[in-house]
Amino acid sequence: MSWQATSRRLSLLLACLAAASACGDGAGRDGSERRETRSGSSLPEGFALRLDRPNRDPADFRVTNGERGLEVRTGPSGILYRPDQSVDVGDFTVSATFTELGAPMGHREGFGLVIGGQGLEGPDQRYTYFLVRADGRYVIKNRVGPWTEEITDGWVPSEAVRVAAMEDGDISNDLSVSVVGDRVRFSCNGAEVAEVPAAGLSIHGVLGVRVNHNLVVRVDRFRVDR
Amino acid sequence: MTDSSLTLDRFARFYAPLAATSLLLTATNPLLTSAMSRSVNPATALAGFGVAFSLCGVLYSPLLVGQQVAATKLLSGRPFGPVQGFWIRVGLLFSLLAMAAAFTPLGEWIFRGGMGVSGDIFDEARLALAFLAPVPLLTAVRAVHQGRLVAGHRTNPIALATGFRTGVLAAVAVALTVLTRGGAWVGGAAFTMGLLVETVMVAATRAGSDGAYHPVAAEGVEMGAQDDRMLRFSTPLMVNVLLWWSTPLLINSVLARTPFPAEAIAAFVVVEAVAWFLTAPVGQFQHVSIALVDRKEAHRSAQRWSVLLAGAVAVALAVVAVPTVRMPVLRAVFDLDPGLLSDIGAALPLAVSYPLLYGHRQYYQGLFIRCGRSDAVGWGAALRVAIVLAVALVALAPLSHAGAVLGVLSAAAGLAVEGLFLERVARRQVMPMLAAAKLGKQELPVGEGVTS
Repeated sequence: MSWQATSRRLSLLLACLAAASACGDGAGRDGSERRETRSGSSLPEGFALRLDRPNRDPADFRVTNGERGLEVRTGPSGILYRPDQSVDVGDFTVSATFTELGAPMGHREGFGLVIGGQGLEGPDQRYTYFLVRADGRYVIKNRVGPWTEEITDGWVPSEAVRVAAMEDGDISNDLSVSVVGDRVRFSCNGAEVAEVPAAGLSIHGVLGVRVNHNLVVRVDRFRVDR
Repeated sequence: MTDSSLTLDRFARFYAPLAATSLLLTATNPLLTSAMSRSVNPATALAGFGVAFSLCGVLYSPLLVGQQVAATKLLSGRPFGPVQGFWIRVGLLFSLLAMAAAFTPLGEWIFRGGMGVSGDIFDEARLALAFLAPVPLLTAVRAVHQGRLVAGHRTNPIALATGFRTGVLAAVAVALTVLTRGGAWVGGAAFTMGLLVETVMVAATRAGSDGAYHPVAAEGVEMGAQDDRMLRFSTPLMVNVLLWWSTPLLINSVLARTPFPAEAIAAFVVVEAVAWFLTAPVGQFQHVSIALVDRKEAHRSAQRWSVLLAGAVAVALAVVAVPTVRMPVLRAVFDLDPGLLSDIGAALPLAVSYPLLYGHRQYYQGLFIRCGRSDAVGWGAALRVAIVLAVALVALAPLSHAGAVLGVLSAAAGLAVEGLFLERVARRQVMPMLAAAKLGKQELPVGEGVTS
């Protein structure tokens, strides 16, 4: 018995295992499986979901539409949107109230608004997003395909962003994004936290919300003013 | 130990203690990753620890050679004080360097500029590094005292201290996980506390000739030789150790450039922790070829038993990698979301190659050391790192969504090419020596340890 002979046998076993692993975890591994799961997922009528990673299972991104708004429970991170809800030209303001339910102290997963969604079904998706998180920080990013570009210098601390007052408490933050001419204003709880040039951002397109990993977030009072 | 009739019983009696100690050493990473997976922000905690620990490994791995040097100097009749003083100064310098990376703009330059790490991973890594900063100093102190004990033929206290380290590390990790919100710093603090206890134990143990020499599965080195040729001989072996510890740093730097760096590095860190723990039993094969192989017949016998053990370990890893087995196991050990567990599970089958590739490499490295050809070990290590980097960069685009697979594939490719190189060179340079005559005793294994 030599190293080479054993290696050959183990290589065969390895190949079998690799093949088995490709379909064994229950989570989707390719597009077809993902689409199948998506079509069978329990999204409210009219909503669509785009997960950040194609090998994540949409069934782990659960959405219910109740009396107090949408309740999103993740799993994997992604954006939730209505394909028919878009702003294609001109100035507008989109706003919503986000409540993180049972937020652990120091939880650093973000949630917030999405504007300018384009090509959301394909590999060249584009959108701009404004998120807050339970440690009192916000971030503005632009997504192009799988890559993101930070408009702010990472997660920026701000007194405008409410933080959890106690372990497993609920935190509500009112977020809004206003496009006025060639400027975009980002506000939290009525206070403007950033104003940036519209150039370079994805401004016009589908509107929606983004919820990152392992969160329970309620979204209500989502509205668009033109 | 140079009889060519190497039976399975003799092989097992020689190797079992080494394999057991090796398992004990490598248990630290699954323990730490399991604890950190229970953090409030598990992916960034694991990724931050992976980044910080890979840098810490590069800083402390050169100090492992202190054991060899101390043992050598003591055996040649030199006093212990100057040796200890030198290594403590070097260890202190490296610890200060780690502190500088944790607390000064040097950290920005290394983590952000060099490794490409930013955001929460950067914050987690810096904090973890602050807790890991004493590790180089402690490693230096531990190494020289281990060398003192090795020179005094007292290897049992070394193994005992290693066991205590793992126990303390586990206790601290569990306590901090329960009492705090966790994070990469928990891994750093637990590791440093474990090492502190181990260092105090070996430093407090008096040397004395109370037992026969036996190789120990420590991260450092063993009984030294006799003269100043040591440095020339040891340099390629030190390079080998340093390059081994540089590998996670290189792979993490590539993974930091994927679209989802936290998940990529976190999944890779967990896969490596599991895979190297299960691979640990083959991690000391260099001792087999050094201690038991002196002629071709012994080589065949030793190789046969080594292959058998490596194959058994690979099969065990393969069983764990089977989807129906791995998901319940991973879920039980690591409290991670299904997506991250899926990433880890996808990479695990590739890690089945580790026991064969690593065992092969260790065995042939031992043969080269035995024959006094440490230069081949150094060249093989350099080749491995080059391949790891090349494969990681080439596979970055196609595997950008499967960071753990990318990492394990790079590591396995590097080991495979290094193994081929070592075997080819061995056929030309070592086998004629084995065929011609019995080799003299050579006791210079520089163990790199597959973990901490």
